[in-house]
Amino acid sequence: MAKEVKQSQPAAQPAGGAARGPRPARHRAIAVAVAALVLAAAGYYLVPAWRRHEMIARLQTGLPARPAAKGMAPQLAERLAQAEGEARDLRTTLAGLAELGRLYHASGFPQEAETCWRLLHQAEPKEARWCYYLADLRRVASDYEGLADLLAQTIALAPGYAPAWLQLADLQFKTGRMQLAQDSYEKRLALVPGDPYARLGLARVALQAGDKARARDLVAALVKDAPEFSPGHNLYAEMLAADGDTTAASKQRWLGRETTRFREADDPWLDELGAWCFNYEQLCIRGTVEYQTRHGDRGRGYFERAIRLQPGNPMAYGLLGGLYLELNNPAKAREVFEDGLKQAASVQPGVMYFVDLSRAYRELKQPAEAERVARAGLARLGREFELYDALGVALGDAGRREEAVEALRTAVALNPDDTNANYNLAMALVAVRQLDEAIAALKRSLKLKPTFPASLAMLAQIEIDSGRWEDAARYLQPLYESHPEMPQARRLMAYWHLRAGLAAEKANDPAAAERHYREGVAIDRNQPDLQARLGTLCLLQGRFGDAVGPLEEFHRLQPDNAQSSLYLGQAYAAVGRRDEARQVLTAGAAIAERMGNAQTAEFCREILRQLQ
Amino acid sequence: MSLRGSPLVPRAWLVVITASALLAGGCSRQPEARPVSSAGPAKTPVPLTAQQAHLEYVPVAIGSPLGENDRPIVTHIAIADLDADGLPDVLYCDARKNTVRWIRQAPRGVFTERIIGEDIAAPAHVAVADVNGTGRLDVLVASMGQVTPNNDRIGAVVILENLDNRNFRPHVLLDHVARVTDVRGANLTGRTDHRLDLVVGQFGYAQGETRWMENKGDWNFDSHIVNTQSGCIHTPVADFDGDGLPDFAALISQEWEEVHWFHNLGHGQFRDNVAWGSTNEDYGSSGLDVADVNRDGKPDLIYTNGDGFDYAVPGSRPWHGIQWLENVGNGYFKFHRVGDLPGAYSPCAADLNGDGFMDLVAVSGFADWSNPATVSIMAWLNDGHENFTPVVIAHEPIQLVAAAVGDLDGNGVPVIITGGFHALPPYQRMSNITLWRRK
Repeated sequence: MAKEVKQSQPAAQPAGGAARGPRPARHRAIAVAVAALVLAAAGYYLVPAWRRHEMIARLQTGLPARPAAKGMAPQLAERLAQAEGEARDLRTTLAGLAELGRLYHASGFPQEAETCWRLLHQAEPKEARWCYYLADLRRVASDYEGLADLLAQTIALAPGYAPAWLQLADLQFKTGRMQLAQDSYEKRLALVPGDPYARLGLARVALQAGDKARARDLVAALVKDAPEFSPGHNLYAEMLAADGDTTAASKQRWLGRETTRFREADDPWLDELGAWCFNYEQLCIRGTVEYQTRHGDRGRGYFERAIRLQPGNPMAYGLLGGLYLELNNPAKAREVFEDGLKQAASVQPGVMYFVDLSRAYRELKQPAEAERVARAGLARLGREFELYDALGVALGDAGRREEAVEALRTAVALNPDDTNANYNLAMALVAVRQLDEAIAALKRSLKLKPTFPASLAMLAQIEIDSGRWEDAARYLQPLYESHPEMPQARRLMAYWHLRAGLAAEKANDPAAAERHYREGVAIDRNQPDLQARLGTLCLLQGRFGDAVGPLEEFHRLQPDNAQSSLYLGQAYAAVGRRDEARQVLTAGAAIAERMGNAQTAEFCREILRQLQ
Repeated sequence: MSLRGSPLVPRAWLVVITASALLAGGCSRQPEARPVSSAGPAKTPVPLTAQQAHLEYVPVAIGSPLGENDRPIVTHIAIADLDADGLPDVLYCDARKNTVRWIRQAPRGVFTERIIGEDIAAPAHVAVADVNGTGRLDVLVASMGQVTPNNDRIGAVVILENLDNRNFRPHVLLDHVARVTDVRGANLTGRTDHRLDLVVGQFGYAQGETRWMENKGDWNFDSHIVNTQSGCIHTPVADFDGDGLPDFAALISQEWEEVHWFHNLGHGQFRDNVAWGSTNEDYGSSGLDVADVNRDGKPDLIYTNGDGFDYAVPGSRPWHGIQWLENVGNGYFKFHRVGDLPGAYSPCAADLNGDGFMDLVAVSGFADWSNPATVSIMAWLNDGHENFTPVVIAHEPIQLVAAAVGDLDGNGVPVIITGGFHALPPYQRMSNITLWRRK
């Protein structure tokens, strides 16, 4: 067929059917082609413009009505008006609409924000952010089917946006679609190598599949690679405990508590919305979240913005001042609190505002000012126990002990079981030597907080100082278990083991004594008495090899103690480390002579002679 | 090959077709927008007033009256006929005084309170069950050790053994564990000795767990941990899959915000399943219970999220509210949002208006109490198709985290019992235990 057509065409003629017709027909064809080209060109340039105009008109008519201004920050109203103006301008419609969406989304107007994002999604269907913001709003509205759909769309448009994969994976996990969740976590992990959130998710998928061994391996690797990721430690601790490994579980528990509190994974698209927040309460919440998850700088920024938004509202001053107190900056805290009192003269601050300001003054060693603030709070707010508590502590700092006791007794009378008030009363009573009442107050302080460390430590110390070291255990055990990181807890617990070991030796129970000594040195290896008792116990039992370690520690801790040289020299000599024994004993003899301890010096020399 | 020498006309028409396509709206440089979601912007229904809904209640304080300086912390309430006298009583946990209290109803309509459990640190949940097979209801208490955040192992499981329907003897079955928030009795192992095993939820803080405890007799129990996540709040028991063996669920909050159900496989084996979870880390899970919401014979889960004490700053959390997880069978649950309530706690189900359908109730523990319009008790009336209409029951007293619903009066009309939780300011419009009767 093709051959036939080719043969029918004159060789000089250009290819194309139009060459075959008569001239008018050819002219018509050319005219049609030209018209079509003109039409196409016009369409090419005019249609998009027309479509854009139509779209913008649609966007502009679809703009959300501005919410009632009542309660809205003037700054927000101003920014909304400006953004609406941009949205109504043909040249800046999309930018204005995006600004409106961000303002509404971040400032707590979800319905208006959703309208903006929907319009933008229609105008720019390839922009993943609009889908993602809509997904976030569906999440807030607890519409999880809508959320799933929008996350899928986001990922289709922006497969490289890792936070969306994490959101999707979590959603799949939480709706029981484990295989999909695993795939999504792996996608996230591919985008963010080592990501702890995805790794935790994968471990949990394994756990749900009943593969405990794999889950445990994954979590063990996670805590090793991401030691600051608290959920890993927390989950690992419970896994270890469930498997009976209590020691390792305790360590992980402690690590879990000491590491940063859980916070959601960074999500730049959502996080950046914070800059558009003009809602006072939302700024305070954002600031509190940042501060409690150890992002104090960001928290401070939010509180400062809240203050600018409502300078007459004391809440943000209180939060910012509290943040400065926690950051050990009482001068700045005082400045913020005092500023707040001036600026927020027409609004009554809460009790804690005065308590915290009083504390700032105390930390600045200005107890008279601390007292003034507490009394001002009482005058303004009435008989609140927290203010009597603050007053009592301030009076105690000022050395007005009897008045302090009186104020603190009032605080406790108003709230008999409050932990802080009772503890502070106990401290004040100790200062005026009313120990029995102090002990009663300390015990009351434990009613609502049974592991309140300051009270436990104080009660334990009182028992030890009173010679009732056995009774100290009831306070020391919970103190040490709950606060193993606390130096005082470690010191007291180690001391308790020393006393318990000595008692066991006295009761002719060397096994129990050794157990206590070993537990004691495990808690605090820098307790020389514990090391000495453990070492000499081993020496006495003829276990010279076991004695060397603790006696070396004893010697390290007390190198100028001739006894430490004597015991260590004996141990070295007994295990055949003769050169080291001679060296230590020679030094020990010299120290003993210098200190006038002739007997120890003679013992050292006696062993040295045997080593000749 | 054949088109190489094709005539000019088709090429011209090709251009025309292209232009037409442009005019007709094709050939856009951008794909058409997909519908973003089936749902548009959510419209929150405006709650009816109690008067509009013909659901007015009259509050009456029962139990210990509120003293001058009192700031009650009622963590949980249960309705049960503890002394088997035919009159339902009220049990509650007072975490301010570390006591478990029994408000006995005898005779009908007369309530007398007595303490039946003392020095139980931060009791958080009370339930009744005949644990030891004596024919009397024992009182099961979850002891947190401390209500405010604490990761120390200060939790305990305490059972107040019912000696004679008047006197109770405490047994500490478990202590020095992550803070305990729920204990319930159930025959998990097909026992025939009339004893019950226990289901235990442990919130902890950074670390926590969920376990069941096998009753070995003489108040000895063996523990079996089934989940190692922190934040377990409630552990209701039901046969979710209809296989005749009781399963249990767990509401796991903190950073997880999930509902799990533990499938009883028999022979003491349980399989942990995720029934549902929120991806909102600040969702604020606060309460879980079982109810057959759609009356299909399968136990559903009702669930509140309103915990705002974590970041205790006033401010809107628009996601706070109540939902139900429909048990669709085969171990699957379908999420249904019911409605919003800032600070929602303590989901309860009952036919409040007597129309034969299961309505829901929740209370608010954390909200903007400076606004007098803030709701402290909300009901949602079920139209029979699980469409719920919110009804404001009360604006005060405020700060309620505990509620129970039941037929206390024996007239078939459920009453609501609420408890005040005054751990934070404002210390106003306070209450201890309040009985709400239909007007």
